Amino acid sequence: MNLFNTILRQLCGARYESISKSLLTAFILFLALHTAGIRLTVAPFILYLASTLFSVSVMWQTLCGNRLSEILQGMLAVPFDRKNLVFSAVFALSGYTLTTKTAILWSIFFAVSAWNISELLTALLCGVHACLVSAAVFLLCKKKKLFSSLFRILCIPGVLFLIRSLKTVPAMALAGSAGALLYLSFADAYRLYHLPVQKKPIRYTKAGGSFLLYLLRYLRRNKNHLLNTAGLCAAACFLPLLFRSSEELPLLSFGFPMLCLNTPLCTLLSGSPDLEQSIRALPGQQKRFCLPYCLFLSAVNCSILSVYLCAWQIINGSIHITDAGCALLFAILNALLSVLLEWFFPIRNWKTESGLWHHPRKYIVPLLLTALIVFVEILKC
Amino acid sequence: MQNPSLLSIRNMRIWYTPDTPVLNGFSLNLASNEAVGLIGLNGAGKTTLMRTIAGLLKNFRQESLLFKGSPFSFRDKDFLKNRYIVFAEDRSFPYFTFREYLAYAAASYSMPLPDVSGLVEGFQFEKYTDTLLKELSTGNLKKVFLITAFALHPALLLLDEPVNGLDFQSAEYLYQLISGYRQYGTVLFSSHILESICLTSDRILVLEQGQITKSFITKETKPDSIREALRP
Repeated sequence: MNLFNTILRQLCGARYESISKSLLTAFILFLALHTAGIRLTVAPFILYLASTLFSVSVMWQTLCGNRLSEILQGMLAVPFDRKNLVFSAVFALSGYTLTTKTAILWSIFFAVSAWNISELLTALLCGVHACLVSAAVFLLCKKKKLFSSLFRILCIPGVLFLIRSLKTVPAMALAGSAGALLYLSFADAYRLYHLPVQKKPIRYTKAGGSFLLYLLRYLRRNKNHLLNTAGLCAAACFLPLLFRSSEELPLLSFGFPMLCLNTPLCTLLSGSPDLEQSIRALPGQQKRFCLPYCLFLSAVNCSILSVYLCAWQIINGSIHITDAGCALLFAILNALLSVLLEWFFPIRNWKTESGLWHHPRKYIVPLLLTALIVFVEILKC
Repeated sequence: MQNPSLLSIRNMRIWYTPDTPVLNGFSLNLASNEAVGLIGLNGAGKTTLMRTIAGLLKNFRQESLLFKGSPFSFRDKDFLKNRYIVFAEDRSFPYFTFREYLAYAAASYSMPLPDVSGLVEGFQFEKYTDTLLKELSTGNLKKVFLITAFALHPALLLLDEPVNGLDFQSAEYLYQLISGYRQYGTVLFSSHILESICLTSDRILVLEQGQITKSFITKETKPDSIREALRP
């Protein structure tokens, strides 16, 4: 078996089942949306930008994840062909990203709007380009860490924004992909492997053993979790602007479930099988684990929804005390449902961190809460 | 005189897939205040048995299950408070320090914070008590859970491969702890190192083909004869 297949199997399962499941999901989603007759006018530029940004974020997350290092560790322990290993890893990761994640996004875009064949091919090309350039930038950043964050955030969408002219997008994507492939052919395979970072250990001398404290530390010491929470706060500021145009519809409450979608915090047990095992082995954890976890999620949700309500008041005005009460109720309800889901149905057998973060389970609670809002609005009418 | 029975399992079947049980027709009797070593080849089912007794696995059936002479289930609250398990590999609670984890575990067992100064000294762990568990090496992490286990004094202590990852001195100290645990309760521990089991246990059970196939009383048997009996 060649290296490409070996890596892809470890990412997608022995029979590539993640790929077949995701493609089936994308197909069902496409059929459902198409049959429902939902039609929107979407500019091709938005499709290209969404394909690029989404693929970059998933590819980057997979490249940064520990799973890749676990996969590569065994391969780097035996003599290997540098070029073969780099290309196999990058192509396998790109295949995984495009087929299991971006394909679902494409199915939504393709179902709700009419596209011609050149636009479809350009969107696919943008996805491939995003994956290849992400891998090249990732390896480059490992060499020069100084500008890594800025570069990875701004580079690809920046280029797309700058060129603007739609006819040049395929040419730019092709040129970018060729450049990335050229760089990858000289890249060092060891840079795909993460060495554990040695930091000076911090000492905590209080012996409280409070699980709330544990959760606060869990949030504070995980950069991705903090960024995700900060991103939700940013979205809370931005959503009132987006909802401004539809004054007839009660859109305020629809923001509540969207802003409670804090995936990394809601997958505490799923993300750490060892923690789940230990928690389940200790007695009395319904009280000692579930209660603080629920309180913690409620507090985080409340903070984000407070930002949302303040932003709404500044932009649109007319916030009542009942809206604040409603936000509090949603924050608690979301936390409670998330903890129940995590306790009774933790996500198991995920292959990469990206697979865990993008697991369809994360949409269950927001969908339930959205259905609740719709139900309440229907009752009101 | 034989100590009263602590745990009795009769004719148990454990499986991950129903067609291929890991343990089948398995029976075990543990007396109060004894140390029992469990030995078997890789894949014999030692960890599966430990995880089942800890209440983590659901796929099992048995003819009878008795704890201190009364029927029970592995997830009963009373049983949970009477046992503690140290897993072979455990990277849980990465954002607690040892002291915080100990306080959390003690509170879970409704116990006051135990004095662990002797255990910390014995395992030479003084430098790491206030460091986050995620920053500890494999051996030091193992010590966190071993110290907690011996500090809580549960009636039944389950140790899955407790020697793995420990340095020579800590392993010797662990042997002393296991031998001396009889005053608090019963230890069931698995290991691949025959010497460690011979040094510490009252009985040695051999797990093969999903059942206990051989049993040795340690003080009546020499390690070489156990080794000979284990050869296929």
